[in-house]
Amino acid sequence: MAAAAAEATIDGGGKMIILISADGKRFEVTEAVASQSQLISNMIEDDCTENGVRLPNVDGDILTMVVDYCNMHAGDAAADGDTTKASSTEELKKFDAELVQALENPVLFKLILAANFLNIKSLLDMTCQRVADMMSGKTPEQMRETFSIENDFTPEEEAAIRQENAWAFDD
Amino acid sequence: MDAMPVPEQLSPETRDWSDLPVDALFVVFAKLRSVELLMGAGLVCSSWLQAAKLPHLWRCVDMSHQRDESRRKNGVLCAMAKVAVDRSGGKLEVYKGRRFVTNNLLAYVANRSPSLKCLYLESCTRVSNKGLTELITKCPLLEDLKLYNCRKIDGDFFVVAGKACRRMKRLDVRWRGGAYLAHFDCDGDEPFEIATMRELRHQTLACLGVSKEELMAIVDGCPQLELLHVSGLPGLATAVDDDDDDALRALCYGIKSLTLRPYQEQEVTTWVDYYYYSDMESWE
Repeated sequence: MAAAAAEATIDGGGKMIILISADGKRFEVTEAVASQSQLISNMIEDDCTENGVRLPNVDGDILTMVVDYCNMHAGDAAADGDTTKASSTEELKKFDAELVQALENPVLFKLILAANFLNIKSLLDMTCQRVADMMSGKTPEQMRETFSIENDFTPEEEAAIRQENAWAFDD
Repeated sequence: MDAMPVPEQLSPETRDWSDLPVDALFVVFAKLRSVELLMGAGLVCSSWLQAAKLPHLWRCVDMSHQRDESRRKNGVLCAMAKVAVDRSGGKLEVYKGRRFVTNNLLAYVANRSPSLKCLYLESCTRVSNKGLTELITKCPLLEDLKLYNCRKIDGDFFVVAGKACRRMKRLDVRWRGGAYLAHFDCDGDEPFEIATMRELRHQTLACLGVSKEELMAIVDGCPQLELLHVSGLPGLATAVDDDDDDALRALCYGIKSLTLRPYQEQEVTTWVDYYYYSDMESWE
């Protein structure tokens, strides 16, 4: 039955694909939308999307964000294809800015994992930029706080780092 | 669309950022300035330190940001630069430095970076002809060289650069204002040596006292020139209808982006300042 649904097409649109999240949520998207993911694009080329694409390491709420993002950016990728669907540059900028601004731990982390796994370059780039911005101007200790990371260096490693990077601790 | 209930497995468990896959971490780290990566993110935890040592992250070492200088001693910045060069594992392609760079650091870079393609030095008053010459002879792939306000570099540099860097594509030498004109002793044949860099595509010379004759030799010798910005051209000053000027302009006909400015003390200062700052940002 999934096969039948996956093969379904919408009026004038391309072939549809079903994406299935880790928690079983199903998303129906066009091939053009889905192929912004290099991973899925490869699967489409290899003809392995008939039964839906299971994404065992992407949760439903994260996949919702990913699908929203891809729907929004489909016009981008399709270039001069369907102009009625293509979002304007300003709209996209606003959408991206709002999406990124709203992102916080741990959603940001999960979205990066998803973008990385699905290989959606622009989304990975955007989310990683957010992380880089969060790091900017912080000391290692402040970064550990921001990202709840434990200092896992052993005393020996710590000493080695201090020696190798003496300048980092000088001032 | 089927409405399957979403299991509550997504709620606020803390994610461990130290487990971020190395591919993603690479993308993040590549967005940080070299000094930020050395001083901050790379010292957070052991997995981030490992990622910060990936040689690919150090192909381009940019230490030309004013922000990185704050309260740091020149020696500290030089030590950082050396660690960055070490981390590149011999793959350094782009080096940019401001103020703190010394001949000693250039030698360190030159001895470890056979693939260096692009060098940018700004206000590096401790770099001399000798230091730069040494680097240029050891880095034969150098094709993009920018020198801004490096007061100790003079015309001799053209002689060596012309002989050593046949692959040079972009050459950009500027002085802020005409104040340092005298330091650039260009009255010999030095700029003619540029004419031997036959692959040169972009060239900017500001306030160097290059003559029209020399400039014509350069244009003639560099058939691939697409961009030529020269300011402080002595002799181009007033005689715009001069035959020489016509000949020079005719010779430059095929160059897509051309600016030839005469040497005029007040004007040169403003123009160079404008060009200097507007272009600095866009230079990758």
